Amino acid sequence: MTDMSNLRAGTYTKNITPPIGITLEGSLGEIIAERIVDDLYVNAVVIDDNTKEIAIVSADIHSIPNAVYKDMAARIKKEAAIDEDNILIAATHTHCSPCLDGGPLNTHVVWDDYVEQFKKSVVTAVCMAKKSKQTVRIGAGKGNNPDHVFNRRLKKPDGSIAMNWLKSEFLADCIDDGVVDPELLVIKIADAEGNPKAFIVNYSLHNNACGGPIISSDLSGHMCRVLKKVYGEDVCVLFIPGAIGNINWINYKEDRRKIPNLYKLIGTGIAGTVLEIDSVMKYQEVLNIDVLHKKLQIPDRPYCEYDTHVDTTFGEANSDNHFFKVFRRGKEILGHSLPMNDVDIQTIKLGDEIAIVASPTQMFVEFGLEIKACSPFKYTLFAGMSNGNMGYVPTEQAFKEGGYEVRKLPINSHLDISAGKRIVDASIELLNEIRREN
Amino acid sequence: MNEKLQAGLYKFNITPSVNGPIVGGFTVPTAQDIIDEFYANALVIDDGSTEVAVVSVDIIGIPYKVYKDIADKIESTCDIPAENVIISATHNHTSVRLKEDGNDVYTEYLIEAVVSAVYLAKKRKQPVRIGVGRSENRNYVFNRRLKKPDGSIVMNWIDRDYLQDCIDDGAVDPELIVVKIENEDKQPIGFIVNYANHNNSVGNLRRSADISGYIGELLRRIYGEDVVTVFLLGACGNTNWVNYRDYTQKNDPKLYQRIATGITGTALEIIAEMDYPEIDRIEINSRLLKIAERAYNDYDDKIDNTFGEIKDGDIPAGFKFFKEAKEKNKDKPLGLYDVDIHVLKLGKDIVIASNPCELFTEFGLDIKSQSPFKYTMVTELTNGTIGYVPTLKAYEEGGYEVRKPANRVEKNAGEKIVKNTVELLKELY
Repeated sequence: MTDMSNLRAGTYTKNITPPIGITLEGSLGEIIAERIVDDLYVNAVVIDDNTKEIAIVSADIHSIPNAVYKDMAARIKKEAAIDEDNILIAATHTHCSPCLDGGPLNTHVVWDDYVEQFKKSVVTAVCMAKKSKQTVRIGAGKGNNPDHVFNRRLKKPDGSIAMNWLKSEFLADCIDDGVVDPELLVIKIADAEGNPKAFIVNYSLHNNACGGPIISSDLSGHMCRVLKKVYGEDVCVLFIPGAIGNINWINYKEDRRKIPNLYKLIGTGIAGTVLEIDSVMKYQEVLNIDVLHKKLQIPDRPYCEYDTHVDTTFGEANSDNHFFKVFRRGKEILGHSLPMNDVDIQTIKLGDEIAIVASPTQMFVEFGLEIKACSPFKYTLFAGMSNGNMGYVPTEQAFKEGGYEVRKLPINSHLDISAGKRIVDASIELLNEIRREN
Repeated sequence: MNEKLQAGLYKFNITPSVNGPIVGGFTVPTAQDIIDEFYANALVIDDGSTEVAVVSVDIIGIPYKVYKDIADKIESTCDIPAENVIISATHNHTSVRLKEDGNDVYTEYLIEAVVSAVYLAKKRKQPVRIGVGRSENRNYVFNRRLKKPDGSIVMNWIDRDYLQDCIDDGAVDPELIVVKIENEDKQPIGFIVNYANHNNSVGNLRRSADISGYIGELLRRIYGEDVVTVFLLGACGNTNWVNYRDYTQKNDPKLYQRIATGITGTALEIIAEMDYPEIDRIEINSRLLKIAERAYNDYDDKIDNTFGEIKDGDIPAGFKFFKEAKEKNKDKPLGLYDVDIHVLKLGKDIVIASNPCELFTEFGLDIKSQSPFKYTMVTELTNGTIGYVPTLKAYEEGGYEVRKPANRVEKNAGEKIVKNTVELLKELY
């Protein structure tokens, strides 16, 4: 490393594993944790370039409610003196983690003391990361791992959508022509001797290969454990899911769901790609940090007939299917009001080559690909599930096709149909603007 | 699943002393440090009727007589037939040179160590399942024979400033094949890793098991200290890790770790997506070819730009080596080399095809493309060491590997080895 490095960074990892008995998020039904398979963590990095200081956090949690994010950002500002605008908090979207709100139907039992503990843990992780700052250099790299990403919206011969998590017999006649994004991006933070201190890993994949009444950090957690075995226990690994709205790990043509510990295999494969990328990692010598935001006002979309329409999205058409019951109940709860949503788009620039664009959404992968393709940066990480939770953002095409994610449900999927295009436009605009600024 | 399939693995430390010669280059300096341990990594696998041993050894090469001695001792000590033994050098260039007659302390020790590794692997046999997969890693495989604009060959490891007008159009084989051996609890107990790349990226007089050693180290960190990695070096006579466009490589003391980290990453990607074919039978077959030594020729010690530009009469060390060798040996009668080819079949899909050469990558690709097996691991420097085996085209072009004694066998040796290997593969299929 040259003596020119203007960067300092610190890292911290804090355990946030809850006790068993807590309500889990990630299913439309209520699931109670019966055992702990592996621990949940908050991983934080604080980086500054002598003029601007940022915090990037990933938490092993399904999603971060908007109010919880705002409260944490305010506390970080107060306790760590890092501007709220400069904080990115992503959920790894593990489906084996506690709910921090009542879920789509507001029926989940929320453990308020865990929510408070979660907030404190995130704030603590940032404060501790800040205290451990040292001179670092930052590198970035990218590669592909197409083995584990599948578009989960399959097409029946009649063009209707069936979800790929159904029984394989029902899906045998399906066509899989949906888009995926196999790109994996890595930001590496290394100390003055070149030893890795942190990896930020960005991959567009649903983090839900575990399942069941368990607590687990799922495939991203296993990826972290593999990387810690390779690089040392002190290495901090942040998994930031990309545009994952319609992407999961299920290959319906070769159903591997019965393989024990499949999530570990997937985590191992992703860790392998990180190692490949690290082996050819290039560092940037001087690197200036900048952050820009754009706050969009996006209304809820009105209910439509399809939201509760019984079809083969979830298997043989059956109005008693649990999903349809939930959608009908959701419609009753939400009523016909169309509230306005504050959707914050955040762009972080790390030098001339690396950018992160974050939004509180489960964007469809097509949008993530479009943002990356139009970005002026060599390495553009699209961070979904970040700084809040505004639910699925499907493409207009998907709204026409039907399926799961396009059905309106509180928290889960409610933004106006134009949301995707507006978020993409705002993201590209921000990326271009931040690229110009020095 | 074949319930009779059993395997055991053991790694035996064979690290040489620090104060000894380092081989692998034109000169033989004294080692000054040991940065990681050398191992004989042994796998014994048995289908209930056929038992074989496959060992990779962190050594530059294993003379045929030393291999024979080890195989005979394994037969008498471990009750595994000598013809069922495959011993492969990982070709780390900071090891020691074994004495062909076995008459020195380290060679004697190594022979006993390899036999012990096989003995202890056999003792640890347990029911296993075999996984296999393949992928590619192109990041660090380069054909090391670059072409100057006039068509002459220069080696890619020389001063980069001299190479920037070169064309790099030689073949490489980026394929990585990984075999996983796991126990009844589905836990990995060992791996076979097959990749065609020169294992010589550690310099500065440091003894090291180099790239392959660090792959083994990383797999142990991930899967446990007892996990054994048998590294089978592919056909890499003309392939190494040197990117002549990348000036940062030269000053990177951890380069071997970076390369190994990337290859291990590819191995992990493979492990995540493995096939588990039925291993109903293990079969092994071999041929011993007699290949003639070739006579010295004018090119063997011809001074050209193979090792860089000749400036102010400053002749690179390589030419001194070739000139002295020619002067010393040119009048000696030509001999015949024992060229052992082994083919080991694990079920219907997996095969290991070995030869004792530093085989040009083109030949390895030929064997793979003609093999009827789904997964064909070509491994060189196995059951002997007979030097480089270049293509006929390479002889015409010139360069390093075609000069005697780097290359000693007749020019059509490569074609013979490919033909015989493919015949064995087809017989066994």
